[in-house]
Amino acid sequence: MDDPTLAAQYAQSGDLMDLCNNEAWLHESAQIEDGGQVEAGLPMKGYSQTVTALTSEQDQQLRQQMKAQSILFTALRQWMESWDLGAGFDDTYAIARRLIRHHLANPTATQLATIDSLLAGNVELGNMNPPTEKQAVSLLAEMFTQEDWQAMAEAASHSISSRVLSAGKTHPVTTAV
Amino acid sequence: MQRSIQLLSGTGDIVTGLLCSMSDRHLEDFETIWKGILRATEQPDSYWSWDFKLRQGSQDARYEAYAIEVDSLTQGLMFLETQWHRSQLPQRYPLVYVEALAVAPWNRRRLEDPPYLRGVGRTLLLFARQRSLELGYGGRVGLHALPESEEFYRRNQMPEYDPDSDKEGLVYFEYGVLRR
Repeated sequence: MDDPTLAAQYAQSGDLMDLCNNEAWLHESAQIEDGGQVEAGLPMKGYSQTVTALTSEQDQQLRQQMKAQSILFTALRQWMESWDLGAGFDDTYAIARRLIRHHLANPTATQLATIDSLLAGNVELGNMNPPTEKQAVSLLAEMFTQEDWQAMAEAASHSISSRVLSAGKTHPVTTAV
Repeated sequence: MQRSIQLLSGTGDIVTGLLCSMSDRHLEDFETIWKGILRATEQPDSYWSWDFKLRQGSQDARYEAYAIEVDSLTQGLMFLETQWHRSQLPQRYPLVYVEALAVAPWNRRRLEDPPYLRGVGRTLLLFARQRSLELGYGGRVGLHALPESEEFYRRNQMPEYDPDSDKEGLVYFEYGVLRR
């Protein structure tokens, strides 16, 4: 991360992060990180040591979990965008993710088969094809219980009502004298 | 705060992600899927609490917490202190201090698999430098590298100082003012 390169970028755009749009920078970053660790801060010592100690099997399991959650959360986000939640989106999305993780801890045999099918496909997350998205959304719809839907609805309405009430406090009602 | 960024996948493709202020969902990613490995390996839990740090970040202006998110999951986390830390140089200039920086376990190269994403750590380090410029500190950034990470910070041309006895002997690194 040489100063002249950064200084030139800052002089040009005022934003060092524009370097992330430069392919040469991306490749350099990848090479610099390859094969090594990046963690900093004493609090990260335990985490870093644990990751280093992962066996190959544990690492594979972790990557499978990660891929399954990436596929489902990406499909979830796209599905939820069609619900038109507005200000209620973030809190509802957070609740939905928690619920999915809860169900993934003990999937049914059918759900497991669908997850395996999704993992076996070459899913491009940035550009999920409609059949894959449909399969993932069907799985999510099958996973969510009536209580889950109620929890998500409550999260959405609470989020919106909080914002309305907050607006009322910012601009208090004045009464005529 | 959130902004779009680019990274390389393990297969060399350019992917788009998000660099944003850390929120509950990033914390949950760390506590569930990142830290899930602690339970799997029966390791004692770290005393570091991102939950506490997230709340601290939202209540105390000197702390800032950031996440990189790609494919709907947290790929990297960084916690900064922006007012109290000073340069190791005699002039004791103010700087941005990296209290913690970590990447998701699947972003490390393994013998069998490439990292899922490459460049997450360097992107976070670059952002710390950007924050330093925005705060008027000229690009000064300090941190203590874990022993296995020292080489990463050397390759990023971050000046190296002495091991710090206050940080269990971790080596201190510090970027000075950004110079042409």
